[in-house]
Amino acid sequence: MQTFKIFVRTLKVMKKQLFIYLTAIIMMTVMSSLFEVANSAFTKQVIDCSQEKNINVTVIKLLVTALLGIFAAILASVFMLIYNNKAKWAALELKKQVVSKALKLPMQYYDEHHSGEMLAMSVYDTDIASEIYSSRLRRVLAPIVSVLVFTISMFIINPIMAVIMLTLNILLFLINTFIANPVKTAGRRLSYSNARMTERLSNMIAGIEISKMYDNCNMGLKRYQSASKQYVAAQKEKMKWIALSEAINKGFELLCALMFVVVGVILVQKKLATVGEISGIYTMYATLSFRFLQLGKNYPELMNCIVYAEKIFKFLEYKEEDISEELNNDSVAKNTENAIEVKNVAFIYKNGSGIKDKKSYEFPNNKLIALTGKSGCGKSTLVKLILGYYPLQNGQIYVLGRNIDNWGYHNVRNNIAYIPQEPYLFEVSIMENIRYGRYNASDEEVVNAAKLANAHDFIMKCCNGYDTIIGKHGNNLSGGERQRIAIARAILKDTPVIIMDEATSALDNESERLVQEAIGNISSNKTVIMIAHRQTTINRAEIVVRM
Amino acid sequence: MKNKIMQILIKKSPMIAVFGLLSFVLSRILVIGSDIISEAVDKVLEGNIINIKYLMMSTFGLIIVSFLVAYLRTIAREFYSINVQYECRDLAVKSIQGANCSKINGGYGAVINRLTSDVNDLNTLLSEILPDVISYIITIATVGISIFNIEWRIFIGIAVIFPVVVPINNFIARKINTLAKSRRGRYDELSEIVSDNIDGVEICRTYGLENILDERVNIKAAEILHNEYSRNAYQALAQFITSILKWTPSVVCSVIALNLVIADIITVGQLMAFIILFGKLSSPLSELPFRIIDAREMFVSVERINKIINVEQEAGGSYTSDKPQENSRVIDCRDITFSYDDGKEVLKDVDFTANTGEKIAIVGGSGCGKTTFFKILCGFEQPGSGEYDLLGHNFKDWNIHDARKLISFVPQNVFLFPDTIAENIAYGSNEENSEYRMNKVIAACRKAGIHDKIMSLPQGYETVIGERGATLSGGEKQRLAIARAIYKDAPIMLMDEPTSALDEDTEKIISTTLAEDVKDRTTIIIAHRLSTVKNVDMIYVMDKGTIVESGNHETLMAKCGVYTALYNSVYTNGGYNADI
Repeated sequence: MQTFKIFVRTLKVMKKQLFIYLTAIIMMTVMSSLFEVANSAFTKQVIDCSQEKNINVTVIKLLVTALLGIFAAILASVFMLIYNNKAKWAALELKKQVVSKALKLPMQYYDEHHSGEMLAMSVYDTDIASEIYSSRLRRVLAPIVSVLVFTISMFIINPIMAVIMLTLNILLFLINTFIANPVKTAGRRLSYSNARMTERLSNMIAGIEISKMYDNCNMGLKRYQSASKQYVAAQKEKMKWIALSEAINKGFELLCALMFVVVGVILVQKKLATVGEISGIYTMYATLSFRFLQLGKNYPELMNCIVYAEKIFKFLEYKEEDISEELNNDSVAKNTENAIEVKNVAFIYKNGSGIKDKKSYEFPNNKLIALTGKSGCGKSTLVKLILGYYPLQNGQIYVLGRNIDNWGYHNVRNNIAYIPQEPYLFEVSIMENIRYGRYNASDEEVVNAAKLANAHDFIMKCCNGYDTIIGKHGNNLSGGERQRIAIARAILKDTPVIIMDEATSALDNESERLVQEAIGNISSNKTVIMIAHRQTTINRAEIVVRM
Repeated sequence: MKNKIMQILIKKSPMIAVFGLLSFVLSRILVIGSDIISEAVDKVLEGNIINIKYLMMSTFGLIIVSFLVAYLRTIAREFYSINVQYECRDLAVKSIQGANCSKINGGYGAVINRLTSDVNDLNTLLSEILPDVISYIITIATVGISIFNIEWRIFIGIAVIFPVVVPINNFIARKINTLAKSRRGRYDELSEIVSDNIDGVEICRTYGLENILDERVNIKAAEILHNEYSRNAYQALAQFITSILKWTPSVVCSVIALNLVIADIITVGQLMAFIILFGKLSSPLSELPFRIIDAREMFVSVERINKIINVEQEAGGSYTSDKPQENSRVIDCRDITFSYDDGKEVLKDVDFTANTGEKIAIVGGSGCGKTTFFKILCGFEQPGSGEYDLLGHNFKDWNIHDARKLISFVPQNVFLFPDTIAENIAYGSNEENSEYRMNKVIAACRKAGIHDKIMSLPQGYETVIGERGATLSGGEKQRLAIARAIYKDAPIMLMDEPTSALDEDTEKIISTTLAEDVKDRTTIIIAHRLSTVKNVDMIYVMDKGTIVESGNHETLMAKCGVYTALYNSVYTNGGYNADI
């Protein structure tokens, strides 16, 4: 029942297109089965005719059958096109939903889950789940539909023969289903040991310099090799079952042929069937038994995809970040003495670290403020609380005179520009990256912001100026350059409060000077809070808040 | 480039030969079966009574044989594939282990991809595609010959039609393949965007970029959909053409055969046999071109694995020694130059010496070549020219593993294995005594100033660190890396900006313990803060890839050169606290 619900949920993604999609599947299958039927009818007519030894009568029959076959083939292709288009559309629709969801979860989710996990969900898991649309569902439906079509046609040709062949097929189907289970178990073990092997390999490679310097006894290599051997063992286990299932299928293929001949001979001798009828059924029968086997193979595969779909829908139902604001709220900030006030706030993460004792701080308006304290005392945590990344456990925080719990995280974040320690740059042009600060800003405003951030000069030196595309994680820029682009982005956002987590990674002295100068440029008429790691920064601040 | 995979493929080929032989047996059984049917039909039509018992016995025998043959055939095929894969993986991994780091640098992701997905492709190639090709060819040959034996005129019919059908099939197969390739590229782009969005979630949140980032995905998705629609159209057309093409030979040949029956050249039973055999022929014939293209495609993976296997290995000699002598020259570099493959010169005429027990610092602006110099000292890069002597012997003559045993290295970017903290600290150590080992780990962590932090974690030293050490702060990771270096207890310690993410108090504590820890250990540190190097024995100042000044803090300050300028530029920016 649970499975069925997930299945229905998967189909619901298509909304009104579902009807067209399902119709296309059924019609496509019916048409391609009819094509096969025409094929076997043709064989039957050939054999019948060969016994009558008169070609003239059958020539028209043969022609009509051939034309019908072509017609069915054309229709099958048309429905296949419709079906495939709808399937691809649905797959991308699902992917879009997952990707969009991945940006809206509570911040805590991102702390607890590796980004690779979400990436795997949006790329790999959705791909497998959407195989339901593009093949798995059809592969289960199609054999059922075509088995129906074939059974009916076989019954029309010769009922006795049809019953016998059908019985054999059901037997074969049952045997295959029986074998499917151990194959699946072996497959699961295989994929598990493959994952282990990959993990060992990635450790070995990602830490290659460390391995070379520290690994005296080739431990990394040995670990990989033992995983590799386990993988081989799993492969061999699976091999046994595959071999058995292939052998049974081959054996059955011949068994069916035997039954076919024996029964056929008896029927013909007793004048219950003609040779033509029997060969017609035989041609159809080959396709029928193939489809039957497919059903046995494809049903577990559909179930496998459903498992992934379940994972995705669980993810899609995950509670999003609560961005609700108090009713009758206005988004206007109040004019107060302190830009930010923290009252009796303590916060403990799940792993036990955080701000242990209740703390209160004031960050006055329009000042350059340094927030300092020993490493691990909770500076970054405090900033994250101010930005509303986590719901407060106790105490209150006021931003621009408004309690953030009532004002709503949206309003809070609209009034703060935050520059993290290692500011993230997206893989788009520099222009776009800065513009992400305020999306309706003109090019000119972007350039002005870059100038204020001391970024304009180096941007102009990049090969495509502002249109230079930033590489993965900004790797074509130095740390100081990345920082200045992030500052430009914050300037463009033009908020009353700017919070910057000072970079701890090495900036050379020149970059550091440029960054400091940029901060100087923006600190007039704004509240700038620096999480300071350097004495120089602390010395420059107008107010120092110690944690 | 030696093709080692080919060698493995050939070495293991007896197994695939067994597969081929058994495939031949299976297709012979098929032919025999169809002969039995053909005879039976003719007898029935002549009005003879057939011995059903004999018929059943003979086919039953065939069934048993084919069951066994099919079983053994699969085993042979899988054995071949599994063994070849194993040997390829083994060779590739050993080659990576011994590889010259700089040759795979930056391409780690690609290497992992190669070994996992390319070996997977190899599996598909060896256990599906290659066996298919072999058994298709064998089936076509065996069945073709027996059709020829029935009547050469039908065979001529086949021989005339297939040369027309096969190239068309071939063309379609190629076309679909190219379309699939361009599609895969677009999906990769989409994944990149998705990954970019997820990694930037914090910026997304604080700048309210949800809709903008969604739109990036939507645009790419629309592009993919457009591409998919045209591919689907093409595929539908191809589907139609292939099904008609598959049918045409059977229609034409059946009509030819029909005429032969009417002309009394072949019997109805033979016509039946022909139809059965032809049914077995048509799918191998139409699949074969597709399979061959698949195989060609998979050979790209083989090439790529081969590249890994043949990646340049680290050179090394045989000299070995385990301890520097007192008051001797530990490291001696003369006129070292180094340039990257793109020709950019990073180091130029670097002269550098370090004696037993000396504490040395290297300072200079970013990009001046400090880190590259360390890579040369560790043997990750080879100098373009100049001499590098370790303990008085040219580094090239050293057994590279033994040379590295002498060096504890703390890299700029800390790498921690996804394993427990204790395992990370004692990484690679072959210490058997677990108690002694653990005590040594704890001692190292105390010296690195991280012991208390570790003890505050619920599982202490047994805490498993996440991928890339995600649950620790930057400073904590650095301290673990230092602890690992202390644990190794090598006579030379190289540290590349080891304390950049620490606050200055912690940094001071660590540098004091390190200095006092082992008196005769030679320590070379690339310094981030000039304040920390004031007390070292010797400071080398690097600028644009060359050493411009050297001496201790006082002498360098007196020179009023580059060092003084560096020091003052920090100072005029506000300066560090007077007490540091």
